[in-house]
Amino acid sequence: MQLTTLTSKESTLVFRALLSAFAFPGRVLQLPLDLVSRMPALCLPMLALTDIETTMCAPDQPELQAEIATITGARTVASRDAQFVMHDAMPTDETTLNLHRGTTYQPELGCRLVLAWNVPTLPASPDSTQVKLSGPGVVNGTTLAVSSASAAFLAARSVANSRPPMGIDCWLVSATGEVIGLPRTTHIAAMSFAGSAPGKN
Amino acid sequence: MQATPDRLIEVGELCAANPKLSAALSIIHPPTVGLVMMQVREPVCRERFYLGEVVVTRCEVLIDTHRGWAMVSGEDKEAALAAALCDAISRTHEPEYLLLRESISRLCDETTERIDSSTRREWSDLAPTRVNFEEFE
Amino acid sequence: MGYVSARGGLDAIRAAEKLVRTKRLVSDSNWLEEEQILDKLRLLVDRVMGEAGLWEPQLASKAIRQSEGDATEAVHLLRAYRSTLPRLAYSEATDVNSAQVMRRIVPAFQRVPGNQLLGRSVDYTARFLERTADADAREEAEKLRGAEREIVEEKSPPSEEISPRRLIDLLRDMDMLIDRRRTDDPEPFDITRTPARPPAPRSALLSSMSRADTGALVNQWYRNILGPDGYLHEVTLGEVRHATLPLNVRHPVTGDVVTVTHIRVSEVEAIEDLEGIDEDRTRFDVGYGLCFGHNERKAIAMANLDIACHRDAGNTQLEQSLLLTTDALDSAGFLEHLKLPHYVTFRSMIERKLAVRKMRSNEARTNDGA
Repeated sequence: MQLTTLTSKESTLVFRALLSAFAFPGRVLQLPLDLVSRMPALCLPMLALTDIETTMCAPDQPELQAEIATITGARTVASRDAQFVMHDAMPTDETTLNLHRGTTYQPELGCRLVLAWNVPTLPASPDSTQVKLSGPGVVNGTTLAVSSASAAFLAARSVANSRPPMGIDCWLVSATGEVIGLPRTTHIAAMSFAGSAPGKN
Repeated sequence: MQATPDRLIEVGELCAANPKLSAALSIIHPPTVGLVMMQVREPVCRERFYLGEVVVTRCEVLIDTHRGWAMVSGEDKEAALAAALCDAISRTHEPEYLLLRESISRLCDETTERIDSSTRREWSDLAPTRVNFEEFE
Repeated sequence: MGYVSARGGLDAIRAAEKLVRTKRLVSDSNWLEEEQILDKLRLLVDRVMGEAGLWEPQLASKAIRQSEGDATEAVHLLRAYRSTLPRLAYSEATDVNSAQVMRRIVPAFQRVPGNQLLGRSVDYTARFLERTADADAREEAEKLRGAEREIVEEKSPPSEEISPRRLIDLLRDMDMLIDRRRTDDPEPFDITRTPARPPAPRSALLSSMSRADTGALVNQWYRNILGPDGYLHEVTLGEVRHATLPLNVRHPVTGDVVTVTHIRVSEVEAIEDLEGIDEDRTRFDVGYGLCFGHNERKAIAMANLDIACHRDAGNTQLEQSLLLTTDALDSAGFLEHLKLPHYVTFRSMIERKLAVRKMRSNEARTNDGA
């Protein structure tokens, strides 16, 4: 088994990073390095947040999915029904659009999506686009570098979040344990194109 | 798992002393005190309800490819670990663990006998309180 | 005078905390062992576990010792501790028919399958306050201990006596019971996660009553049976039991169901004689009570209130009362919060009164002047 049970201290540290990521969308936070050195960073949110009373799904990685289920006791369900979903590559539009968005009276039932994020935030490269973030908690001028592959995902995400308060909340996790939060309230607008320097607009 | 803690720990220590076992051992869930939500099915509508929570200690280990799991009542991390080791060993077939399997088997028999004996003792206290009705003519 | 925020008193609070701890630990009487509480005050231990909704006799004894015998305070300590523990599993649904009785009486029926078994209960003892000198009592204890060791006959209890068929099954055989057995299997309501509000599913009501304060439930029953809310009750008790139930959990590796431990419960059936105009008067209906430990009073009240609530069908506030006002911690907590400083609240009330007086005297002067 690659994964181990988090101690309550470890899961608290992960929780705080994830919470801050949602509180300051677009800001890069760091998951505890000693944990990242021991197991795939992408798994840390699920290990910290899921338990016997939650549902989850990691369709791209069935072995990790099984390990997470063993360790946390979370129930494995289809991605459309899951409270926590993990992907190590951009999900298809269909997948994103089918994720649970909660209800008007219970928006908190909306899915938390954990995505592997490989694109560095700086500097811009021909394959990447700078997108401007706005919304509650976003510090003015915050941008995010995204690859052309993820542009489609972001568009699907906008659709999923088009009827507040329903929507999905995302954490983008790099292999080195950096995490960026994109709660449903964060609006993403395409900004500059490949070649131009990143910065305020 | 219904064995007395001290007997469990005794057998657990036997397991831990086995060098092949200690080499092959990894811990999936260290002994953790937690809760089991107890559900009952009541007799009137045959529906389930939650009666309340019971404190238990749970542990899960891996010996080679054999997963061992145990849940003991109350707060007892040592007993839970010992029981998990016993659970894993009981499903092995390797000759190196034969003696341990036999100890575990003896412990199970012992436990069954102890439970039966205590049930009989308790019944001997209770039986005199049975009501034997006499009917009036 | 503007209002003043109250602050300070930290030293006093620390001193008060120290005083409690010192007086609890330091005394001339013998050290009180947890084992003594478990052994000699077992019914208090059972009651506290039942009101906390947490089965663990050792912890309950600790809590009772720390609370110096205040049951509600002990419940508070247990619930606080419980909130730090993770939920590891849900049990398999234990069928209450698998109970093994230590006491079983059926007031409604004389000859029942498996016998009336009086068991260990003070119901049959004379209520004389014992004035025996301790020395004599200890001597008696030694003699009894000696006699205990001499028990010769050790038979296994016959299964029809230790897990007897219940009265309502007998009534079903006679077609004398309204059949409310469900064919579906809804998930139980979890009151530890979501507060229940009327109209709530029956599982929420049963869970709430199961961990209700004993006095509150008895009081609700008493009020209910005496009729100020307009109920008509003709209740006879069916099963009244003190029994053990297995806690079964599914083994995550083998998939087998394993018994982790046994807990003790009190269980009651309350048979209701249906007399309402739109009820089936040729049959009975029944309420069910089940709670942790040996607490017959509570299980009886619970069973009665279960059927009362069913018959009430939302006509009165009975369900609301049961769901919202019977929890020991909820009610005591709200009550005792009154002891916190309400200086600002009260000061503002005084000022409001002064303002009203001033306004009235101004009006009076204006009217005089006019």
